[in-house]
Amino acid sequence: MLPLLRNPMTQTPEQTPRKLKPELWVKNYGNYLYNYALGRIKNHTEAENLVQETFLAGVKSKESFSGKSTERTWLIGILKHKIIDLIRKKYREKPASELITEEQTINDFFDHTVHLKNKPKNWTPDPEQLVNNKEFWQAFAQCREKLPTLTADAFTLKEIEQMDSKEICSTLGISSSNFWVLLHRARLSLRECLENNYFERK
Amino acid sequence: MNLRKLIMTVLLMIDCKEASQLLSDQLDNPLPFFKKFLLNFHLALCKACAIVAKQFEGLKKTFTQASDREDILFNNQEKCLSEECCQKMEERIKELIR
Repeated sequence: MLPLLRNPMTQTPEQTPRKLKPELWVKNYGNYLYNYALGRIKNHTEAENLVQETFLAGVKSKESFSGKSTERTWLIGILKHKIIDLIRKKYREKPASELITEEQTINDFFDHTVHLKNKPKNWTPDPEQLVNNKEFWQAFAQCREKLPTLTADAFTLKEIEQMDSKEICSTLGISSSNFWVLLHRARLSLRECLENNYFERK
Repeated sequence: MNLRKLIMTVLLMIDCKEASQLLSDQLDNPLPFFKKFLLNFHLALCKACAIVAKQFEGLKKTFTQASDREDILFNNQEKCLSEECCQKMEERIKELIR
């Protein structure tokens, strides 16, 4: 579908239909895509491969680029799908059922009287104020490293990729109730870790 | 065991572990009436869980906002692809373009 072309004299750079420039992709977007992938999967080699695959897929499907989004946004869209496919493949080969019992215990956070072991402190500022704070995201990334594999993937797909929970369950091969328990565990772990490493840091 | 804690647990009908799971669940799905009632009752009496409730909500908002933004990479380091890797990629792209 061709974008509407206006009078070339009044066309601003933004309105000019966008063209893909694959010969510049590695230079312009290589590191960006790489870091995007590393924010979602741990393995550096896998992340590199995904970036490569994304670029190649981009060249192959050049025609499907409508020009409505930027080059980068379009490439990220391709990369996102590849990340999810990689995760799906991982759990097809090694079913999550083995990991679930290991990872599902939330008992570590609660003492025998069933109160939280570590009393939560009040946070300043509210986390919503920290979206632009680099230190906060650094602390978050470190805290996420601590999550066990399946828990981390469940969290990433839900909160970072904003996937629908039914789709996540089928991607990971787990039941709905397992998923909610894992997500709970992820949130407890991150809450405590962020408290210790960011909000209450010395 | 602390008597006060024991009384609190009995009165609260659900314990902090259950409350915590409900707090997490309600971020994504509205709770059925009775569970919501039990949770709110617990939160009214349990300061720790009331703090956790606020923090869970705050973090949820933070992640939702961040996931819409391309400039937030959820990564704590700015890594670079190796020269070698970049060259390899550029070659493969060139091959495909031809």
